[in-house]
Amino acid sequence: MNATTVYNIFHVNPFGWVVAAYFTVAAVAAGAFLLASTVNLLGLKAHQAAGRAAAVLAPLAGALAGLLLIAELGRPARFWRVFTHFNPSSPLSWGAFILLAFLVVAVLYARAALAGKEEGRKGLAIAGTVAAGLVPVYTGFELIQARTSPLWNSTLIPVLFLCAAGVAGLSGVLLFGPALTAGATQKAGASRVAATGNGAAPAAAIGKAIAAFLAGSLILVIMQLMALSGASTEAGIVFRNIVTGKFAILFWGGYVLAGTVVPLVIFSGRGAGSRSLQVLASALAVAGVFALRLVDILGGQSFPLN
Amino acid sequence: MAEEQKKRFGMVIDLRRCHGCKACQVACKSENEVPLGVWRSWVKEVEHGAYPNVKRHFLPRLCNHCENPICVRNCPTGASYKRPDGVVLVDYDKCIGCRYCIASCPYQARYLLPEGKVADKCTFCAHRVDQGVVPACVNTCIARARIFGDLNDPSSELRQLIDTNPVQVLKPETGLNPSVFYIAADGNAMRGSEIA
Repeated sequence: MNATTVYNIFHVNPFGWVVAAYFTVAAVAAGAFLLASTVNLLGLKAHQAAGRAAAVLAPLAGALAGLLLIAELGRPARFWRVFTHFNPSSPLSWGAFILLAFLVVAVLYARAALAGKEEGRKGLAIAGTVAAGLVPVYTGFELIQARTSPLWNSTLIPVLFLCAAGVAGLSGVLLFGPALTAGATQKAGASRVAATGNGAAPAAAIGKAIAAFLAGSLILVIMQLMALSGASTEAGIVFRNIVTGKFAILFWGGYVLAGTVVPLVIFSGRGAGSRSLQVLASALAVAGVFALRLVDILGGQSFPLN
Repeated sequence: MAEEQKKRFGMVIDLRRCHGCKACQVACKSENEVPLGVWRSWVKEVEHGAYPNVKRHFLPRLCNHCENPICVRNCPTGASYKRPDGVVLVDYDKCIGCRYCIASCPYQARYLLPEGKVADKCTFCAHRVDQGVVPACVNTCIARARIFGDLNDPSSELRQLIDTNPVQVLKPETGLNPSVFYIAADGNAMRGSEIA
């Protein structure tokens, strides 16, 4: 039957690009810490410099993520209220404490890593691994619990966000590693390139890991879109908006081509050893995570509610 | 003596009576001083058919004051809360403006106040109800399409309408158990749709 809505009220969508930026920066922080703790816990000597750079990057990105989260609030000066009231049924309430715990551990770990202290570092690495793993997972649950959006209401989201943390964190280390540990490496008389590993080979190995996370993310995104395509009227609208509609350029151009295929080709090909190509691929991979988060956030709200 | 059953306020909107005058929408705006650009209550309109065989259907909208409110469940600060009588409210002093309740509500009933930047929505005119007066939208409805009362009182007009008519709620699949019921609602109007 021909039915046309001629009058309705649509309130402004609650989440915008700042939330997508927060998710991306939090993914950088979590992924970087997971790299640092993996190097420490598994004793990967060839990756010690990269582990040190990751240890420094994690709290810096974590602090920036926290600032973005506070800036996003309608009443930023009241942010402390989330710490004076705990609501166990709210993923956002859990997230505030998880992010705080992550920040505290990441700062302590970075201090120990820069000072070269081994005492107590393994304990911090284990505690930080749990907290860092929970940061992207909680952000995923935050969207699941929103329950209004067919795109968000998917159990794949936390796994996808964990994969994205692998991409963003490792890419962040390749991108900013030399700058973050420049002081330490200059003191030791080493080159800036060595900060991402003890030479080109470790950086290439990190690139291969990023390629694996990129492929994993892409598979999850394809699965999510396939599940979405015929699930319901609303899901169909969101699917079309992403694949052929107003988010198609961001999705295909930003996430798939620039943010996944190009870095995947560079990291899994012969270009993996070239520093300039590593920088390009890492920057594109982080931008790709941001593009996908934008698609998730904006696309996930792009259907009419009633 | 049997324990007195507690109140649970609710509303029935009888769409056999509604003729889309939007007096409820205006009364709500006026009573609650709702700012420009946002609405606590509004009347959605859907047209069926093509000229000359056209019919217009109305669907008055407001917060559903759910029995299991997802907004309350997801609020990190306790600013969104449900009173013992079932009315869901926002404590402006506790709200941090995180918008999570707005994203959680499947009815798009919430918004961020343009000034103050805290979450806001229909209160069932709690300030009136507490004085024993019905909400402004109910009071102003010239067709008596809106009936307000206690869902737990078997003798109330509201309860009797629910018990003796086929009633619908919006998005029953969410399991939130809305306290706003519709009689004779149009299926197309109940679905989400963009303005053509």
